[in-house]
Amino acid sequence: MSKVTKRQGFGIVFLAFAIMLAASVLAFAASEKISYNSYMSGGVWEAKDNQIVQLFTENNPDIQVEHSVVTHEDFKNLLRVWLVSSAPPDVLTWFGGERLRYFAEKGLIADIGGIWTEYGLDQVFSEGIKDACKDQGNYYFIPLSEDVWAVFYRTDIFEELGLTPPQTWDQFVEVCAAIDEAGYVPLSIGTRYNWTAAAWFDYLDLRINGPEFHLRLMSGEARYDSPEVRKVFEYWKQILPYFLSNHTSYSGDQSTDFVIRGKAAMILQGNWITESYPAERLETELGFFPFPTIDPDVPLSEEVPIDGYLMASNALNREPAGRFLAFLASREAQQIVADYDVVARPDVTYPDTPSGRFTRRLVEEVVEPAEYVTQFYDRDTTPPMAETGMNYFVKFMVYPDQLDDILEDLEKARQENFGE
Amino acid sequence: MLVAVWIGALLWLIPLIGALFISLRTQEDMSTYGFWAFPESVTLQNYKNAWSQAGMSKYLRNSFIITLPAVGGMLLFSSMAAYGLVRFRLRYGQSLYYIFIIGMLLPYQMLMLPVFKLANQLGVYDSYWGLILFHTSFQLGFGVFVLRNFMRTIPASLFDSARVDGATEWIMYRRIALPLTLPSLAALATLEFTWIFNDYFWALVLVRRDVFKPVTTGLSTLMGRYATNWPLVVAGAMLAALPTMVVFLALQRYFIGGLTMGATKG
Amino acid sequence: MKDSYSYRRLTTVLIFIGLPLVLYGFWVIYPVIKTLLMSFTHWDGISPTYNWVGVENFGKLFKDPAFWAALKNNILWIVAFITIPTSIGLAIAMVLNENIRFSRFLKICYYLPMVLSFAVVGLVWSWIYHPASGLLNSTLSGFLRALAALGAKVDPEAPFRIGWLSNPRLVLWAIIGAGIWRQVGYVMILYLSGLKTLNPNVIEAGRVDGAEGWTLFRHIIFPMLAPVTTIVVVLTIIDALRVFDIVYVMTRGGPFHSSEVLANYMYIQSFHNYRWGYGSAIGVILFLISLVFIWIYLRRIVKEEQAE
Repeated sequence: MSKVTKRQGFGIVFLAFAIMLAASVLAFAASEKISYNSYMSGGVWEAKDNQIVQLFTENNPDIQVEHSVVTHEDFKNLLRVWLVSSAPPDVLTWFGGERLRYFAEKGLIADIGGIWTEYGLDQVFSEGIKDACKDQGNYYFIPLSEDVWAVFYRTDIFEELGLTPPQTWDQFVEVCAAIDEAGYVPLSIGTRYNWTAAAWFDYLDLRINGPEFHLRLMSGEARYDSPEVRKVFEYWKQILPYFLSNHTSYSGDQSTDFVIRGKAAMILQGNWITESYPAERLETELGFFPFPTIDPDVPLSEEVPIDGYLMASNALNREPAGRFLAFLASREAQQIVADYDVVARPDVTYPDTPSGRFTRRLVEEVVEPAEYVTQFYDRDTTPPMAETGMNYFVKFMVYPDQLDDILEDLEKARQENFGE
Repeated sequence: MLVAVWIGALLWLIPLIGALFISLRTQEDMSTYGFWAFPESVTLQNYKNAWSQAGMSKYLRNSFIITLPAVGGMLLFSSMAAYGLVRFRLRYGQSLYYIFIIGMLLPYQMLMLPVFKLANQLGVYDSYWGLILFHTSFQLGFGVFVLRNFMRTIPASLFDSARVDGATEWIMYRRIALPLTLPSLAALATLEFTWIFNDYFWALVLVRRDVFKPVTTGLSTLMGRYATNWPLVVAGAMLAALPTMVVFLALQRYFIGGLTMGATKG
Repeated sequence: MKDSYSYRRLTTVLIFIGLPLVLYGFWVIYPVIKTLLMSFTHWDGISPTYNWVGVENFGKLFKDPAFWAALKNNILWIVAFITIPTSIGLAIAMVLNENIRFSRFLKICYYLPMVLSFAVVGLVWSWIYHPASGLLNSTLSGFLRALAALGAKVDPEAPFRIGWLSNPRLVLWAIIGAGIWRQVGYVMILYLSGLKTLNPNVIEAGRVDGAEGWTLFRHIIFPMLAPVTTIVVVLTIIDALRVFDIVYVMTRGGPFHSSEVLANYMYIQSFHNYRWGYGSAIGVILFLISLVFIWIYLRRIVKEEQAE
């Protein structure tokens, strides 16, 4: 009798250990398989991403790419969890500038200078782009595209109301008022994820105080309770009534939808609006103009953030992941996104499609005239500061009367984050 | 009072019925006519899209792959521990029992960081196993609590006479304790199925790849991906809700039995 | 002979208690202890050193406005959860305890939300609260339109301007509302089973003494339900402290921390800012609060066991 007991008892022990063993085997079984996590979720974006992966696996049948798509907003949170895990994605989509450096300094992402040298990427990309890929002189990033920011507007609504694209701040305010009068939403915005508000802060600061002050503010050298910053909020306050009401319940995509459906007339956004805008209506219905001038003496600057790819420093499959990264930097791969994005490689051809033509025009009319180029609030300042800052920008949009407290809290956050 | 209860009951159903309504319509239909208009047409397309294109079928499968072994594991181990606590006169048996109860009531989020680290060290991060192991272990608290109380009601004489016949503890556990606790095991299984199936937090912390995601975190992926298409998103939510609703409606008696066993020890 | 018996007993104990305990120890007990220890460090989850700092994290926490906002919100969750679902659940249970027609159907109506995951509840309610195309505002607007048709001076478009999840004053209550929708059935089940255990003779005696309706409930039935009420309150409080999923799905704690809760703040601090020590300190606070209620629960169980 006792024999049976023991055997069955050991059976259970064995089972438990088998479970553990199987689990660990499962985790390490992947060999020539790379894991790629991307934030390009939904619509055209996802299709392009899939196309790139597909082309890579066709060219490299020995490597299997395990591709996971996570929505943009979730990705920004979850990436932080993945990078400290023992099984991070080998390759990830991410952003250039400070948001890259933050992880580089923590040692969470891999120095991929080897890939840059091996494939001669140094000769391919422009200085400005290369700069956004580096931390302390080392490369951590493969650039894919630049986002071009502008105010997009419905030409049909402007025509109906007899409006022309504003060039100065006063004209802009007048246009907003006229649109509001006619019963349309003048300015669409979705601040459910608070970063969209930062575009307004950035542009107002760039137009009022200029790029030099802006960058000093971003690097923690200028104060948030300074008269300069206060002026930014005062200008912002003038147009607050014209923003979409309840903007804190909408995501960025949902706010774009108001423009697509013709409920809202204008939106300050990046060029990815072309991805969700119906292609057949794009060129006839959608116009754009650079953010209006406020102080004509201030040099013109535009926000052109850079997106691309990085490798986790804990990556389990570095060699194949390196090959994948090199492929992502190739003309072949970057050509795929050329009809919707401003591509980092200068040697791609922009196709003659509605979105392709639209994108070209954006580059010519917005980026090329700019004297200075900045990234974006959350890429130019440190991530913890950006987190606090963007939260307060949204708070200001809802409670403009609390400006004094907001400025005080922002300054406190600056001192905490930049160690004063 | 009865009228109020009727009104309340119908009110309580509105969110689900409303959700069912919108999931059967198209986005265009919704935005042109508004919610309260009579729908132009009724379609199952949202369900089809959510099922295949948006990956709900995969997420649902993952949920079952995670939930079933976890429920099985927690039933096995908690019935063993409960049996041990009732049958063996252990010096610290009572304290051990209290520890299980404390664990059952913890705000479990406080375990997040060490569990994350542990899963990484054991190599079970980002796999089914991490979730299975964690749920099995964490749910032991509730399982032991319920089953111990139930097993205590089994008359000791049953065990004594079996022992006289030469039965070992293992035999007694299998032949006496388990069959007699079967109703509460069933209740526990029903309840645990729902709980583990509905977990969101641990799936968020312990799973990274889309291929392993259960339906809860899968659903938020869907929500982000189709942010402007409510009919599709809500259809996805209805699909995600289906398994637990079916289990509940089919095994209502056990489900409710389980809940009350846990709370009002009877 | 004695030796082989005790060896056998030892292996039996080890298998029956040891195995579950190893699992439990690994995944529950050890993490609790580690969180307690980590709360005294500056660990970022990455560096090899833990960097012991004593109670500094707690000092910082008590000066952090977002922490107080989250704590306040958790307390509001608790207050709302022990009052509203408990009284609604009890009231319904009182009615459904009598033999009435369709009581099975009525019960199911209230139970159903309880089996849904918070992810599903959060998503469905996100739609319900959606300003432009949500169920709630559409219904309100339809109602006003009917009034307007009858000649009342109301603007049927007005409800579309209500942002249930975007107005910082409404958002917390909107989410709690969704939570209550899910919670009522649970409380009802507990009370229904509690009512079944009441001694009918005592209630009958009360009736004979002339107690009726509210008086009967207030002075006889409710006091007899006290043990169930304790359990309901404790379990509800624990649920309110565990709130995370529904907030994460619906608002992420926004706009600007208006609907922040401790569990979400802990998640953000730990993973978003790599402040594992700080995050652990938030976890410890959660633990300490819940310990009070766990103790109440445990004391009741100890009492019951001794009574047997």
